[in-house]
Amino acid sequence: MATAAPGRHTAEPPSCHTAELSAVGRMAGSGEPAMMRAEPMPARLRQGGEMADIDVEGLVKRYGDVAAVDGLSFTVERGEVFGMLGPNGAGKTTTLEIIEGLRVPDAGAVQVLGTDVLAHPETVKERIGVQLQATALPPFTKVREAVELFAALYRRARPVAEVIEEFNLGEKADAFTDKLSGGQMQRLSIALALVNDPDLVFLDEPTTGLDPQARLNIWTVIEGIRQRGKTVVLTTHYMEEAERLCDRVAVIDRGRIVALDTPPRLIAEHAPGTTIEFALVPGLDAETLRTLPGVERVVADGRVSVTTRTPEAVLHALLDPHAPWAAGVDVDGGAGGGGSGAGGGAIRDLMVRHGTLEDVFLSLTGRSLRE
Amino acid sequence: MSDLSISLRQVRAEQRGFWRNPTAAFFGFAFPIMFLLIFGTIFKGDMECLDGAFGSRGQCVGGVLVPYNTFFVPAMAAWGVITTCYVNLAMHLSIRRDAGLLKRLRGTPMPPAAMVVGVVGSALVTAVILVALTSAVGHFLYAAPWPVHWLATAVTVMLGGVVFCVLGMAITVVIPNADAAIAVINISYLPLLFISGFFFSFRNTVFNDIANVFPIYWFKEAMLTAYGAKPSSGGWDGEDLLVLLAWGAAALLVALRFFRWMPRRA
Repeated sequence: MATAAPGRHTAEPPSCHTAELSAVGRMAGSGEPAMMRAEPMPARLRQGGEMADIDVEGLVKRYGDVAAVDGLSFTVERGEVFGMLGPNGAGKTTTLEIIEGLRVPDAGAVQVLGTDVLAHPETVKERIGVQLQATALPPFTKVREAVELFAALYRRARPVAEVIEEFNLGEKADAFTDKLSGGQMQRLSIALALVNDPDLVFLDEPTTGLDPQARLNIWTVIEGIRQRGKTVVLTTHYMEEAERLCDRVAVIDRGRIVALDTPPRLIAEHAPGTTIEFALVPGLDAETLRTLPGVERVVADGRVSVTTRTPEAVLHALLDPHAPWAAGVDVDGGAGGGGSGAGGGAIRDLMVRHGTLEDVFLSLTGRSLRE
Repeated sequence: MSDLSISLRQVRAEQRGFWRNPTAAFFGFAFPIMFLLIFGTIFKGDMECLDGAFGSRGQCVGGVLVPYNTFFVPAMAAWGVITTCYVNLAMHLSIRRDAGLLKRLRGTPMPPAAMVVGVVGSALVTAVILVALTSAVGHFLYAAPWPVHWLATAVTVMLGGVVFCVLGMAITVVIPNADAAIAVINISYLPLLFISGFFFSFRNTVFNDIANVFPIYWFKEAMLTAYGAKPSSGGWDGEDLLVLLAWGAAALLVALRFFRWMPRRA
């Protein structure tokens, strides 16, 4: 299987603390600083000597023999939406909970908003907003009461009515929280994270388990948070979510950052070209596919995905009616259609697409995000 | 907000949540009252031999002879305090820990003490209501006397309440998850309730020796004394409350050292 060695992309511990480094240079796997500088910096990234909102160095957290977090280092800049993308159990939540001051790491240092979290967790908690993976609300509580309850816990809090209005919960203000839909519950959960007008907001899998409509709604909410200048750190195992919302994405696997960059650059570096996907057919195995002209990478993972920079030529070869695997091929189906079902051997469920973060993950780890 | 006002808000929110769940509130109250009705009816008019045993001809050997209801009402009031402070509080914390609610609160700057004061304060309010209800039912249905020593009763209920709340926090340390909570809690105190003589006193050296180690027995004794079922000067027997305090201190150390806010990792 032609996958890149994960080790090559492992985040290097930073050698020094200069601002230039924290702005761009510490992005893992950035082999070519010159090329990086040639690309425009995201406008929101600050330059100069100011500190990053989050500065994590050499974070390690073990549970028994298992290192849930295995030497993570990264920075998050003011105003950035920073994504942590990885499968379940990759260590995203543990990392987040250490940064939020909820767990103590076995090794490493964490600065949040210029404060050492391990030394002064209460100072940090005053200025951050936390939304946990499982929406935990006190039972037998109404929406308005929940917001009031959390607002009362901070020295500085926004007016309760304003928060309820902003998150479109006005109609539900007097409803019990267990009567809310999944999307409303999640909006409330995010509203509670923003009740203290934090500078930095943590959202742990904010759309997991939501239907597509509610997910879009939450995305709009998160974009609104970004527009108010907040720094957002979110974890997700949905690559569309990371691509759409995040300025930068840390791809995390087995407690390590295997790549960290903007989504377009991650895709350009780790999943370039076009991917052609189809169901595996008899007579056409990965070895044969690799011999086709223009094929760069083949992953056979239930479905076959072939990466190429010359999709026309590869498609032509695949759909060649005289090819040994072509018995009964249905050319009319076209991209995305396919599947005549006329005997075996046909290429079915054909799909042609550009690279995604899913491919990035696959290319870096050899596994799919949702395994 | 100051820590005090946060705590008071928490007490109010906890109380609101408690009474909005009438089923839980009812069953939280039901046990002591139910047993008061059952045993109160069965043994109405009987006599109870405190700290002694009935001899072959019905005489009370080595103890004090009192009407059954005089003994039973403070005993059931004591059970009420244990139910609301120990059982309910431990259940409450286990369930919220499992649901991630304690973790969520930990993500705010609320001092842990404020959360604890909220939960404990609410349990004490409920305990006082239950003690009052038990005493009233005992008085009006079974002609049991009102507590003789009011101050001692108030102090004993509050002190016992706080101690059993702290014990409730300490027991959550050995509760792995919410499903296991009720089993762990019941096994930790129901047998003691019987051998501590909450329903009828009896003489058995082995059981008495075991019971005398635990705070449940001493709390019942303190309540009997405060209610005037046992002779005393002013309703106090310093030893009872001292043993309770010692248990409270030990439980506090355990809770401070081992209390978990986070659900156990799946």
